[in-house]
Amino acid sequence: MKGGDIMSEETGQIIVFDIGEEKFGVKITEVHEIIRMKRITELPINSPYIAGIINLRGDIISVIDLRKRFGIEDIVEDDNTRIIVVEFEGQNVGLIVDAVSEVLHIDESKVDVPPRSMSGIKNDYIRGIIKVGEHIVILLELANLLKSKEKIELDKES
Amino acid sequence: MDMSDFKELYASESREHLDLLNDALLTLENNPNDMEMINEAFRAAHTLKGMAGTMGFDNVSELAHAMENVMDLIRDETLAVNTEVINLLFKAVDMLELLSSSPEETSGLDTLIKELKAYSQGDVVVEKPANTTANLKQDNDFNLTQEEIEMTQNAHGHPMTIRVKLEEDCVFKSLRADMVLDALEEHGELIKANPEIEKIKNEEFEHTFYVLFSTKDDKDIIYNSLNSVSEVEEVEINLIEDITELLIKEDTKPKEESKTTSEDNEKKKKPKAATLSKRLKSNNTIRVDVERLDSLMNLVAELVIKRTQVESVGRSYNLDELNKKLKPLSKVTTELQNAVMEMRMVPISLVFNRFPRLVRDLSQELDKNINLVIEGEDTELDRTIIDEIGDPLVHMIRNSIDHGVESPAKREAAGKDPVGLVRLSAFHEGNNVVIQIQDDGNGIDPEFIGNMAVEKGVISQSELETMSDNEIIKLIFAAGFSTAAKVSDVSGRGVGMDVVKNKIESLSGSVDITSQVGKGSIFTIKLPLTLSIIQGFLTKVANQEYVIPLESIQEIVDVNLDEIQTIRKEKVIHRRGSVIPLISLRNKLNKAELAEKRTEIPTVIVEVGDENYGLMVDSIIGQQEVVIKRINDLSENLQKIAGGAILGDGSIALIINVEEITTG
Amino acid sequence: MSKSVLIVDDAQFMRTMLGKLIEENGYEVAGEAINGEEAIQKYMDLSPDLVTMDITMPKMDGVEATKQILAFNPEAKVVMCSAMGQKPMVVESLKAGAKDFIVKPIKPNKVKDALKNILG
Repeated sequence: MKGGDIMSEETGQIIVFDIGEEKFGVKITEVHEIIRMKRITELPINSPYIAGIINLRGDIISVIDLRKRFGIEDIVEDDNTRIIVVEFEGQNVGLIVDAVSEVLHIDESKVDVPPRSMSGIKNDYIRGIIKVGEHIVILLELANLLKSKEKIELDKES
Repeated sequence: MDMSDFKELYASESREHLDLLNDALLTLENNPNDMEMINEAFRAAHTLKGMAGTMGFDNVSELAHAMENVMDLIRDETLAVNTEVINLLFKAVDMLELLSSSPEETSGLDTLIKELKAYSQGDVVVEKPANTTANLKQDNDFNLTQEEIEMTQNAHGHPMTIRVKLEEDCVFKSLRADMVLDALEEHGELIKANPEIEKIKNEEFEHTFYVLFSTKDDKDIIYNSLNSVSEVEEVEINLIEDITELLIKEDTKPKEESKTTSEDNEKKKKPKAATLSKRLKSNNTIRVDVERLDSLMNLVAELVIKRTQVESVGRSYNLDELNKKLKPLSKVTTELQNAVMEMRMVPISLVFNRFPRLVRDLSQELDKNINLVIEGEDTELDRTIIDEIGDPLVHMIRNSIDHGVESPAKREAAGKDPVGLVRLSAFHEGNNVVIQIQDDGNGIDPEFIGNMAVEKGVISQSELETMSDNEIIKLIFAAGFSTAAKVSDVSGRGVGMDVVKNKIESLSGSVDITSQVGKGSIFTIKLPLTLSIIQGFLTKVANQEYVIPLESIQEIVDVNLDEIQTIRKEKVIHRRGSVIPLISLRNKLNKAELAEKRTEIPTVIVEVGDENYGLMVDSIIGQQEVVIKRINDLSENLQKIAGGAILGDGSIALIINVEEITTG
Repeated sequence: MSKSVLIVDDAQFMRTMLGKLIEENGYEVAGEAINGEEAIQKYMDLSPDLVTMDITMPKMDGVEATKQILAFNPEAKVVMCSAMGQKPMVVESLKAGAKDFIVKPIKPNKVKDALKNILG
């Protein structure tokens, strides 16, 4: 970071997590907390992505299986599986991820526009990508990701 | 200040309050005991009086004042509402209306005022405050006891008597007096007051009161301090040289005098006390921050959960002593939660009350003839929802009147009653409050809506072709649909049906429409009774606990396999002379049926509307009280489940929405 | 520089009236608000020397707004404008720290006195 204010809007912190082979990031300001996997109570609905609900200290919050959301094959959860609790429209929602790897400071000016085709994931949910060391972290636009009216459409062509 | 600038403003605001007054009197006529109405009428008249007074329209002001006095007596219940009084008040309203636009038209005004005064002063003896009789000595006689004298001497300041006279037109005399006394207390010690402090607080004094005060400060400082209290007209301070002069005289004569007058006062005081206490009762409310109520609610909910957890431990370990002690604890917590919930519940009439006037105004504005029927205004809902549901309802009613109900001419041509019906109703259904707005207008035309939706790009032509009429009608809730370019509702904001829908959904509610072209439409809003704590039966289905709300349960039975009959492909049983359809919860919840056939199937018989159904489960665990927690279904339409409940062991039981599961 | 007053009332009529009276007495009108919420906002923006606060208003009433303004600035000077039946609310406001009250219908001399007593 060159000169300037550390507090400037140009830098932010993101929480990086893994799903399958990819790394994703969400703004730390959107994250409420990160918890270990809990028993999920299933709901009798055919939802493409709501895995169910969990009891978070007395509150019932819905949990989304991001693998399912992104159309990636399901795996057996392990010790690293986490639920990232984010706040959306005034309520808490959980996102099941394979693992949470780190918290990064990123320079917003270095965020790139995502390339046309990213396998399996529609672009609306991606606000950009950023190269961190050897990896590419896909930055997610939570609002679009969670807006339930849009069902995810797999970009099968790529 | 030149008043003529404000003539228009005055005219329009008067208009508003005259309408209010009119409506209130109309309602009062039909509901003579409606206190809220008389209060509204009073307030309206009062505001009109004020505005007229400020504008210098003294005759209007006087008339409004005369009305006020009559209504005050009605409020006090010293004057009963009857046709004559109402007619007279209506006459007065009409005169007020006339005078508002043409202040010169005063013929008949004097007679009217006289007639009103006859009511307010004639049949009823208006209680005069006790102190205007001879009893109060309007001078410095403090008549101190020895004790009080010693107190003064111990106060270490200069004793003085202070006479305070409030402005004659001071209204909240006790408040002003309080302010005076507060100001004094900053400078020294209040020894005694004449009349006594209690009487001052009850405004039992004309305009003047005396205080015996002790202070180290200079009398000028006290003087300035008291004079800077608003509405204080005169302050007179007399330093006391010898306090003992004020010692009470042991004469019998003054005692006797005071005895007779005090007896008279007792008689006069009693009725006044009655009215006062009645007034006091109506002031027996306190205002509480809604957030505080929310916290309280959450705490109580947590308490219920914790208690359940403790009960669960008691049961698992068979701790008899503990279980015994928990019973009264249960009772208390249940009462606590009911009490807290009740605090937040308010009748929907608070919102519905706006509507008669609204409908009247809109009807006039839009040249429609509307009969508004309101039902179920006592239905209670949570306070926070009441605050939020008003605007959407206003919008929907406006819609019905504007777009729904046709003009009287059109209606007649169609063979309908020229007066259109708008029915607003509210009732409880299961764990919801249902509000319906029904009109007998021209209904919503799917063809028209469909085409408009395509035009506006909300849907494509091909999509339109796949939709049913019902689905098309629902498009009016779609974003980007707003048919009116600039809808302005009562609050002056532009609003579309999509905003209404969003608002309702933000309250965890839902809105639906059914409509028939030419016949009318019904809008149905469902809202949850938030943070409900319910009694239910805990059952198990496919390894998951489900709660069936007790209020729907008729009985719980074990259905024998041979009892089951099949009628038209439905499994039913016979019970008490009626046929009860059986529903497998496994099936409804999309779970596989049990592998082994059972001979006895635990079944919960529930009542939905007028019908009974038998819900077959895997096992019945027992009665349980649970806190319903809303499930954020991210708009995935979780209909069969009404919410979740956290059990003693931290696991989640799903609460069955009995209606949806039986009829959905 | 003359002292400024923030007028809070949901009735246009009242706001205009009070405005005139305030100016006639040599003070400035800092601004106007039509409900409690706006009142708090404008108080924070304009830092008036005095606030005249109507009691019954939509969105948030004068008592609540007064409490919040005083929470924001304990030295704030608020004068309640009350109607006849609102004595308990005036009591509450005074307890919360309001300095004075005027009862409607407003009389020019009462407004003048209240302003003078508080602002000088």
